[in-house]
Amino acid sequence: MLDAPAGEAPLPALTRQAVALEARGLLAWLEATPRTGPPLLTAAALAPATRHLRFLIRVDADEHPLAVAEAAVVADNCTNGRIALVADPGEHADALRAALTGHPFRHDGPRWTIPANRPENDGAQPRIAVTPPSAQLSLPVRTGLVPVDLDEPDALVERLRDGELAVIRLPDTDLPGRLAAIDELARRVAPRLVHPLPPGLEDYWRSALD
Amino acid sequence: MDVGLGLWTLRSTAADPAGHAGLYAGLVEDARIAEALGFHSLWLAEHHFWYDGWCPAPLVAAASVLAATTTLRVGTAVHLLPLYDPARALAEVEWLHTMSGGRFEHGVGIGYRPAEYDGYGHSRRVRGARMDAALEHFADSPAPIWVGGMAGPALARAARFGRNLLLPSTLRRDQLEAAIAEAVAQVAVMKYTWVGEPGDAVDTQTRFTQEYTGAWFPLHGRPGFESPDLLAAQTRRTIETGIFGPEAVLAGTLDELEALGADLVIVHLAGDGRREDRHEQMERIARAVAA
Repeated sequence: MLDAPAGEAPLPALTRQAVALEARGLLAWLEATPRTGPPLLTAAALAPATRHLRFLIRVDADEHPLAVAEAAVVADNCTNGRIALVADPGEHADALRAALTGHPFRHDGPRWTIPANRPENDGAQPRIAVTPPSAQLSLPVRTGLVPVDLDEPDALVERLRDGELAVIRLPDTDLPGRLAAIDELARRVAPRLVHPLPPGLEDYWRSALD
Repeated sequence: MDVGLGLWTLRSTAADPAGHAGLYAGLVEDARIAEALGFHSLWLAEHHFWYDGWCPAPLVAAASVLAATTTLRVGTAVHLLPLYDPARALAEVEWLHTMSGGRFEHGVGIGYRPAEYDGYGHSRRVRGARMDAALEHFADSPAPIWVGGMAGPALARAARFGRNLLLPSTLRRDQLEAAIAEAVAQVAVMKYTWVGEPGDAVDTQTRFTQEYTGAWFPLHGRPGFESPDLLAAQTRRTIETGIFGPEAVLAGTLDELEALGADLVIVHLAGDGRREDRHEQMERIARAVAA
């Protein structure tokens, strides 16, 4: 989970962390915080400094689905296809998925009516299409992903193994502390999350690291 | 007087089909060139739900450009502010201001397409009221605000809120003079421009205007292609009020605009296509500015 240390200019610190995550093959989770800004803007800002880093964007369920979808396709084009959204399950996720097909759609739900089709809005069509297309064939909308706090590596592996995607909150320390935590995750946690390592390798791994 | 460049719309048009991921990569490259050439600013535009993929979220694109540059200012001509929740929009603008060291120029406008308001659930009738409410909310925004438009209500709005004025392309000299006279803060003037042999320059602009205005712009409520006479008139007006000719013509016009009281001229290049042409234009414009 990308966050910026307090008291520092946010973008350089975020960029250093993003580059470290990319080098280690980890993903970047972005959510709106005062220090990280609106997450789709931040992802676009991290685009020039990265090439492969994928961004998991925690969407605000109160934001208009079109505003989210449009910002997402633009950010996806800015990053050449590296955006995925994480939304609350339910109407918001449904509306986002419909909008992100890039095809004409309409959404009629308890909270959102898209488009509104107000009679005074001349030229309004019964369906609209979000353009431009995303760079990806299908921009993902996930639900149910929740960040967990960084824990002792074996405990984290225990909790997260066999899960789909793990999102880990880095410690709220200065930049060197965060970079060290990224390194720790890459070395001690990530390799063991999919399935246990072959016999002997777990022990070798620990001894190599210690 | 400063000189900026616009408008980056990120469109894939019938005249020049393009892949959008490439257009956005090109935007960053163009910005770095503009910065190296010494331009004051680069300006993005906004529209929604259209066949050409016109950028619907210029603040996101601006974030990318600002992160890739160090001195270039980046603006919106214009951000359709009334579509959005003002609190969220302010958070986005504050972030752009902070992350860029204060290089974001917030041009705002009410737009003209009812379908855009309809998509976001608003009546087009409340555009003005929503803009006024948003500008109240933005009273302490750290980024400079440029109110776009040329009609009476837009000029009055800029004056009422003490904001800069962003005048669109296709205004005649007398219209510019009248608008500048009413301005209470800075004035930016946009001018369609193409540097080269006058015949070629006019052809380039005409091709752009025909597709943009024909497919898009409501001339008396109907798209331009349904009203050939109105489309021809709008095209003529675009040519007459723009700058199409050699570098000396552009240099002379920039001097005139400065004498009229413009603080900023946004040189408005026709279309997004033909990257090689665009870079050559940027170099020629930079030479005209230096002259």
